[in-house]
Amino acid sequence: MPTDALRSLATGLDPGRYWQRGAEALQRTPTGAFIVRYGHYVALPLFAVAGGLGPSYFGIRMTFAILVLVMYALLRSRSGLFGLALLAAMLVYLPRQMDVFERGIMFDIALYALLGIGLNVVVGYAGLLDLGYVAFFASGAYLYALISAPEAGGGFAIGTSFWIVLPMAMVLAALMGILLGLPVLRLRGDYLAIVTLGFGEIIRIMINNEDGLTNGPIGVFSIPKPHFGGTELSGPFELYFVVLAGCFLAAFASERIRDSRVGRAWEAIREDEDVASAMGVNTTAYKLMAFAIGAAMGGAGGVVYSAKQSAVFPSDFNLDVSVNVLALVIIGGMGNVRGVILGAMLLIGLPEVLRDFSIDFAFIHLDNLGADYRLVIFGAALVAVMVLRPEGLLPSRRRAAELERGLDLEPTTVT
Amino acid sequence: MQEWIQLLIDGVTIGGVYAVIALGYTLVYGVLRMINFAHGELFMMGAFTGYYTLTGFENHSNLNDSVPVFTIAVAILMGMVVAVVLALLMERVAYRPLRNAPRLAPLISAIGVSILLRNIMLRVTNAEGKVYPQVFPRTGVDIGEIRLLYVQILLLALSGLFLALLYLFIQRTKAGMAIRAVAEDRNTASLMGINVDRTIMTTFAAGAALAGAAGVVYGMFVTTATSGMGFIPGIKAFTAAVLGGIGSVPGAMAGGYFLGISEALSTKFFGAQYKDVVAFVLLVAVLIFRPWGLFGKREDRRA
Repeated sequence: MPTDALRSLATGLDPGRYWQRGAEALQRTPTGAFIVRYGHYVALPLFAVAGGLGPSYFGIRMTFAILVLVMYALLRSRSGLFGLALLAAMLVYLPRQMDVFERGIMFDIALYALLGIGLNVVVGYAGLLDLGYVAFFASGAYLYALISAPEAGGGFAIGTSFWIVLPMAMVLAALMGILLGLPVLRLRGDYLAIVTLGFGEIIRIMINNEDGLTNGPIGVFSIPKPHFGGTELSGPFELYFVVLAGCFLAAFASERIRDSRVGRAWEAIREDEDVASAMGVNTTAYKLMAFAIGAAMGGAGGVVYSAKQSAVFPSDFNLDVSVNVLALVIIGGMGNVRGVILGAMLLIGLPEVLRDFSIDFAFIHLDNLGADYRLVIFGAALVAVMVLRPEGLLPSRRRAAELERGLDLEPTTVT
Repeated sequence: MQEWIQLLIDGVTIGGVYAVIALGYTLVYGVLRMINFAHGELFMMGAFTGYYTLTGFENHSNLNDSVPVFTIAVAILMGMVVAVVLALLMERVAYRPLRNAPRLAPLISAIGVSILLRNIMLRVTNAEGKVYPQVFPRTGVDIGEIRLLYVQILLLALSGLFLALLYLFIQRTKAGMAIRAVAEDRNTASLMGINVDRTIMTTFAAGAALAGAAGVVYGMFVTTATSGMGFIPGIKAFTAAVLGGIGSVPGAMAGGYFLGISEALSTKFFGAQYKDVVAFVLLVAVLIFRPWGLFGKREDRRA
């Protein structure tokens, strides 16, 4: 009962509904529909340029939470252009006003958004529950580290450029995705989750133990920064734009694939694998393709991470990464790239914003509430979001429709 | 030869812990088709309860020295009570509202509960491991070159006892029969007059009691309790449950011992650092060749 009441309250207060009406009116004209559909791909780079002009510092952290809420409304509105333009403006403009610490957070948000977009292909589109996503992230990070760092353990320090390693890492991660995909093709649901989890752990343990190749727990140091047109992209701020560009490309690519024949095949597999197979969908090929594409995006994220950190350790690639990425995809709303971006902002950004938060009210004095209790709050928030909105904050339209129709899609009495 | 026997004994010891935790996973999975990711944290909470109880006895009485059997029994009981209360709470707050939600929702909710409990304990303990008071002498019996600690004997005996009790509970009591019926078919069970909600709560409680008790005994065995200690045994126990055929009670027991022994023996071949890899490779191999588990019943379609 209280849950229902809260839910209806949330719906009533939802500004997204009002935005939606305007957006629908715009979409009725062909030109409007085109702008809504593709406008944000143009808007993003435009704002990247415009972001260069801005006033000095203002209270970023205080406004961050409010802005996330505003964005939530905008993203929900499906109004495309306006919402995403504002999002792009924020993503590009705000970091210019931030200090190093805050820029690091923005980098993390963008990186996790990229990972989320990749995992969304596997989990959201193809419906394959993957808890070992960190393996691909790790492979990208270590490939760049081992190839480019002067004193890498494997002795292949050949000093190749970031921009050459990036596609290599994507190919390597895609191959690993296929390697993971092959044995688990027959598995479904929770079994798949636990095997992929095991795969992620195996990769981490191997990196930890194969000292000769990876330096083991000592890690790889002095990984060089990438160069772009003669300038070194040295800090999180510069690399943030690299990741942002990566997010943009990944979002564009994954939405285009979703709307293609491949995307429809994934959807069919997600809904009912047996029926899809009976209808002539090559389930093997399409499932492997989902693993490979998702993995490639994770590998790319790993390369940038490695470049930003300058040093990588096996302990950076534990299960928490996979869990965080999966959580942000599901909290944001499976199958929806915008939801993933929102999820990244909330799950990666908010705990950091909470760091400075303290309560001093009546007899309650909790200093550093955020720093000490942010993960407690994070855990509670995961539960709360799932109980109130199990479909995620911004579900894809189709997924939302499925949920309203009921859940007879899943066999409930299989024992 | 003696080295092998030693490894075997170590394997059976840790395997007993896996088996006891695995039962909680398999029972909950049986009735709800959901991985209770927070189950390992119940184990951790049990270990902390055991620590606080035994430390309380240590500081305020001399009972730990005079009647260790009593204090240990109280500690185990307290561990069970705390774990059961927490499990019922998480079922009510985090899982029951999601019973008809998409299947990933309860999984994420469970991950949330797991993160919540782990970080609460991290705050409570200030990120320090808590060292158990020494209730048991850290000695044991030597048979030839094989060394068997007393606490290890206790662990072996108690895990065997808990497994037997749970087996009897599931097979011989009305509540156990209700659990089996709900696992078989929830709708039909409810038509037959079984209170499904209550049965699910019983299931959580039974699994949690085992995890809490296992936490206390394991805590005494390794002598420390840390906020992260539930994670790896939790994952391993789930692996054990899958190995044995998830949803099957004898399967989870056998899977636990099987995993513990395989891990211990594998250290001889690959070194201790590859122990966890062995567990997962075993899991993948079993899932590919016998997806219904080593001891489970073959079914044509598994969700």
